[in-house]
Order: sequence, then structure tokens, then C-alpha cells
Amino acid sequence: MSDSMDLMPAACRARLRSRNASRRVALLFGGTGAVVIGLSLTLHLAAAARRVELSRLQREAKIHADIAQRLESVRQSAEAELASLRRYARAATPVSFCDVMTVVGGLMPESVSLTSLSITPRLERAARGTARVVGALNMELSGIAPTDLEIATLVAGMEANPLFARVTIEHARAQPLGDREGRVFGVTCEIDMTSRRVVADAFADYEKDALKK
Amino acid sequence: MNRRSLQIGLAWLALVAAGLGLGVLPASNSLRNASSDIQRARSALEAASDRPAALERNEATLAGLRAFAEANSKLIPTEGDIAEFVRGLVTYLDRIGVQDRSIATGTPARENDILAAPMTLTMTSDFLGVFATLEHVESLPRLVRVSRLKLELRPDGTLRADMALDVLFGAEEIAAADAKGATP
Repeated sequence: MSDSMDLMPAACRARLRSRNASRRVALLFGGTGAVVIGLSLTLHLAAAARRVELSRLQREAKIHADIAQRLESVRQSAEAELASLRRYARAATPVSFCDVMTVVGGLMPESVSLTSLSITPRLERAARGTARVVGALNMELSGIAPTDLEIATLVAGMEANPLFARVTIEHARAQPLGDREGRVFGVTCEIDMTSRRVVADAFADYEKDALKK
Repeated sequence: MNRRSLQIGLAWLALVAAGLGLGVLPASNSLRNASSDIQRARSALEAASDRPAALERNEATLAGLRAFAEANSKLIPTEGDIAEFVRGLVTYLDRIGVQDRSIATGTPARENDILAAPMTLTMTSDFLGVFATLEHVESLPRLVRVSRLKLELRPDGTLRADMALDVLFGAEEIAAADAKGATP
């Protein structure tokens, strides 16, 4: 066997070589372009997906910002409400005078009648430098009763009632009442205000809750 | 390496550079920025995750406070409206038939963060009249404080009552003035 013989003309061979080289270059450029475009497209798509996610999160953040604003407004309203309640608690007398009279009326035995009743405030300063507030009410009762027994019943009733403290008989002396003998008496007692400032006590829990951050 | 190969190589590098510069790098930056923004947004959302519950809790507290205030406190109006108060009291006393009465008002004085207008009501009536008047004053929608009460039985069986009242008002005005004064 003899060696193969190249019968292709040189010009044709050169042209084929040139075509192959062109194909390789085109393939290189096309492949590189495709890789770059593919990579870029993938990254763009991933970024777009992230932006969609970001936009969803931003919508959520907007809702949270609205909630934060509403929360602040609710806190301010609660503060204002608390301030108003504190003001009321400082200014109001925690015990109604009507209630005091009703309780006294309920404790009086049938045969006892009052000739005078006075309720006066006793101002106290809770701490140095603070304004004086009504710490207690001093109550003085005067009346007439057939015997000391009725006076004792009244005083015992007052002592047993949680509204009154320091119940004292100031005097009880004999005095003729028409055609029979009776007793005139004077009783004093205290009504504590400080421990009855229910408004202040009751909203303390709300206060703790409302100021919770 | 011939000249043509060099040209092709340079062209290829230019193509790669253009592809990276115009396509890949901006997309990569955009992706990185979006990722860090997402990270930040997630952290912020995580930090604020208890807000809805806090809002619910605070709204419940506020509703409770309002209900509590409505049940346990009274209005302290901004304006004194003393004349209106006296008019109402006189109308009430007329209605229950208390003719023997006198009303005196004093100058409002500051008491903590409100104003208290002192007033004395002296009246002669039976027990029911006195009690009804006291009840009327204490059940008004605005805060009127009974600060002193003195009842005396008269020989004719009627009662002479001396009541010292404080008509309270001006809370908002004083609070606003205090806030203004406190502002540097």
C-alpha cells in the first residue's frame, strides 16, 4: 500500500481550513455570548424574583408602620385617659356624703334622733412639697336617745361598719325630754379617704398595662 | 500566533468584558442589593413582629380604661360655667320647693392641676329636701365636690343645712399652660 495521496488542490484545502477556522471562531463567540446572556438572564431573573419578594416585604413593612402609628396613637390616648383619671382621683372625694348619711341613718336605732351632723375635711400632705389633699373626713353627730343602750347600739354599729374609724362618744348626759328623762349625746368618728381612693387603686393595673412598651 | 488570532482573541475578550459589564455585573449588583434589602426588611419585620399583639393588648387596655373612667369618674370641664351650675341648682331647689336658701360663690383657686370655685349653699328644709339636694349635687355629670356639710335640727323640725361645694374645672387649660411653660 502506498501512502495516501492528497489530491485536493491547495487552494481548496486552504479555503476549507479557513472555513473551519471561521466556524470555530463563530462557535467560540456564539458560545461565549450564549453563556454571558444565559448568566446575565439568570441573574436578572433571580434579581427580579428578589425584588418581588422585597416588594411583598415592603408592603408588610408598610402595614407594620401603620400598626406602629396606631399603637402610638393608642398609647397616647391611654396616657391622656390615665392623666384624666389621675386628675379626677386627686380632686374627687372618694366617699359620697349621701352614702355617709344613708349609712348613719341605717345604723340609728328607731328611738334615737339626731339634732346635728357635721362632716368636715381634714387636709393632709402625702409627702413634703406635695399639695394637701383630704386625708379623712371628721364627722360629728349630736342627738338624743332614751337611754345609753341606744347610744351604745349606734356606736357599736358604727364601729362595726368599715366606713367609720375612731368612733368616740364625746358626751352622753341626762336631759329631760318633755315628761321623761333622756340622754343627749355627741359622737365623733373619722372616715378615711386615703384607703378609699378606689379610682387610683383600680386603675393602677391599667396604668401598668398601658405603659408597657 | 498570527495577527488574525490576536484580533480574534481581543474581540473575544471585548465580547466577554461587554457581556460582564453590561449584563452580568449589573444583574449581580441588583441581586446583591435586593438580597441585602430583603435581609434588612426581614430583620425589621422580625423586630416588629410583636406589634399587632401589642396593638391588640393596648387597644383592650384603652377600652378598659375608657369603660373604667366612664363608670368611675366624672367630667372636669374646661370652662367653669358657674352661672349655669347655679342656675341648675336654683331650678332644682325651686322644683323641690326649697325657698329658704342662699348661695354664695367665691373666687376660683388653683388646686394641683385644676381650678376649684368655692360655693356655699345654705338652706332650710326637711330632711328629704336636704338629702335630695345633696344627692342632686353629687350625681351631676360634672365633678362638684361637697367639701363640708353641717346639718342642724331646728325647733320647728326642719333642718338647716350648710354645704360647702367646690365646682371643679379648667383641667385641660391648666395642663396646656403647664406644658407650654415646661417647653423651653
